[in-house]
Amino acid sequence: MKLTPKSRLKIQRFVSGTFIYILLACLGFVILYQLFGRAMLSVMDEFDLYDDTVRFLTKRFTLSNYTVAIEYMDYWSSLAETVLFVTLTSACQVVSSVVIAYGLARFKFLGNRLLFLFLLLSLIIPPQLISLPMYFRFQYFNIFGLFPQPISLMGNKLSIAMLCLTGMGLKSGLLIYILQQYFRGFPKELEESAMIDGAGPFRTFFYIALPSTGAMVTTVFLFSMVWQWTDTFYTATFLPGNTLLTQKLLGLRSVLDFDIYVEGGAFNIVKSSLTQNAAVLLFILPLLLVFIFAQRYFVESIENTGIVG
Amino acid sequence: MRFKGRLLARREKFGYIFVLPYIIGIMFFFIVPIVESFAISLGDINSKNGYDIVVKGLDNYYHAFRGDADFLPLLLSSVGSMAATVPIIIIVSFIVASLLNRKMPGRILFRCIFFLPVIISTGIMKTIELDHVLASVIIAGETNVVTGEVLSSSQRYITELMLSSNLSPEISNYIMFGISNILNVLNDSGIQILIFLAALQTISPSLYEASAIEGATGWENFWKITLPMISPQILVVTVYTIIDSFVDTNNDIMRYMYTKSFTDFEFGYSAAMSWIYFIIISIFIALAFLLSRPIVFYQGK
Repeated sequence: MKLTPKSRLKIQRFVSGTFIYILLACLGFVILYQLFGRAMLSVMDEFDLYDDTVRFLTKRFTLSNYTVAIEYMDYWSSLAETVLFVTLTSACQVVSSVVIAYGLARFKFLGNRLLFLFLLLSLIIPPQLISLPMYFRFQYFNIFGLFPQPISLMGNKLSIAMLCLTGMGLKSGLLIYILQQYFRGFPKELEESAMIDGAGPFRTFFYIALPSTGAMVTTVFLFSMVWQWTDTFYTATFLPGNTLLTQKLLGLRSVLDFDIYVEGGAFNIVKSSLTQNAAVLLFILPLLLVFIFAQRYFVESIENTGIVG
Repeated sequence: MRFKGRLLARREKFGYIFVLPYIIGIMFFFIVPIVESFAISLGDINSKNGYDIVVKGLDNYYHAFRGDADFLPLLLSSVGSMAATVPIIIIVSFIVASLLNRKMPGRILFRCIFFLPVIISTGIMKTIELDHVLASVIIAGETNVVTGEVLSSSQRYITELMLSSNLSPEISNYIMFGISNILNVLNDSGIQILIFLAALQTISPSLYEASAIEGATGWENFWKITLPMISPQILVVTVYTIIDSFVDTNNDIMRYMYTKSFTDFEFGYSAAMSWIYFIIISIFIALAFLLSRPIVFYQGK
């Protein structure tokens, strides 16, 4: 059989398309499997692990891992606290980032470039470098000499709020950078015409610039939320002894160990591992839900950000 | 005209009000801590009530290189693993992005899957590993996908395959390293894939049309069009990946510094280590910029 050039091209396309599909599916499988595997394990009973015939699928389906994890992490109240904390800090961070980014992108005042330089510097400075002086700064807090005696803000969520509001929170630099690049690429004409009509800079910002940034602000807010949710560095440094989900998750092991070795309770190492595995899923579940509903924002708007260009 | 100029000049001053929080932040939570951190690195902190910084000299730096048996090995291993993984991350994320950059059903789903690590593999999620007893139950074939290690026989098989096709042992070892770490590599390349994908989509199709008329092959297209057009993003991704791997609070050296200051209370020494580390980061980023200068092609320049 002789192939016409057209049908040969078609076959070529089909073969290469299938090959790419398979390759992508394999790589995607690797990523998904870490969640899938954990999910499969989370419904296994302790005896499934002693049973050599059990692979992937449980023979003794149980939800007890989840209920135990929920109980030992004090999940619901900790979840509520984390949601509140993360939402508020992300809101602070995003509001300040938007305002700062707009100021940097749209006004040519003296020192603008210097601030931008500091912004870039803040991206590459390891948090460890400044965490120590910051720790003491909040331990003996007396900014501007406002108080007669230094007060301790250690363990007070105000410290993190303050960092977020001044554009110095977790990855704030990156958020400001993204928004600044976004504002820069935004057409200036609308704002100029508003200015000619007599609107001041604030009115221009609130009524012209801000309404058009909805999608971008949502994106940045979502990113901020994800980072805050999984962050342990800032919360562990500035909020020692906090009861956020991250700390509950990290502390779960020692809580369970205590139960095993000291109290001699109903736990053993295998059961403890199963519980910890379920706890990881409980921890990540809210983020996954957010991702599923807002994937458009996460994935699409990177293309609108300045990172690209 | 003069009026407009004055109006504009007055308007620019409002910029200060917008960036005022940032100025405060930069001053009190950035510049002052950096200066203090440098001072601490030259001495120690005396914290009974309030805190005093005692400046002594270069003792801490001397100790880092000569006295501490842990610091240099940790530093070298962090830098080494960074140097080994950054190229793999860039190559893999570029390959995935170009595979995703064609019209096919399920493209959006794939994009979501490859972005998923940004959610499920940040912060605390990186530190929590699956227990080995549990992992053994969900091993797929010979590859332990959860811990990312390829078990020995398949490893040997792939290596033999590569060696028999005349690849040098160094390259085949490196590829093997990439394969056995594929989960970690994919987990670290979510943002990179998106950056590349966005860049690939901005390349004008007319370039490819023109080259098709000239009779160029796909291979030539890749080297003469795709690569130059996305070279700025390769630089961005390189710098981003370097920073991401260095500043990651979960890497060994970062944790070592954290325990030194907040568990062992060796403040001065910890600060000195942070400074050494920061200088090394800066060198790597500067290198990335310098090396890329002759390669990166900016459109319209």
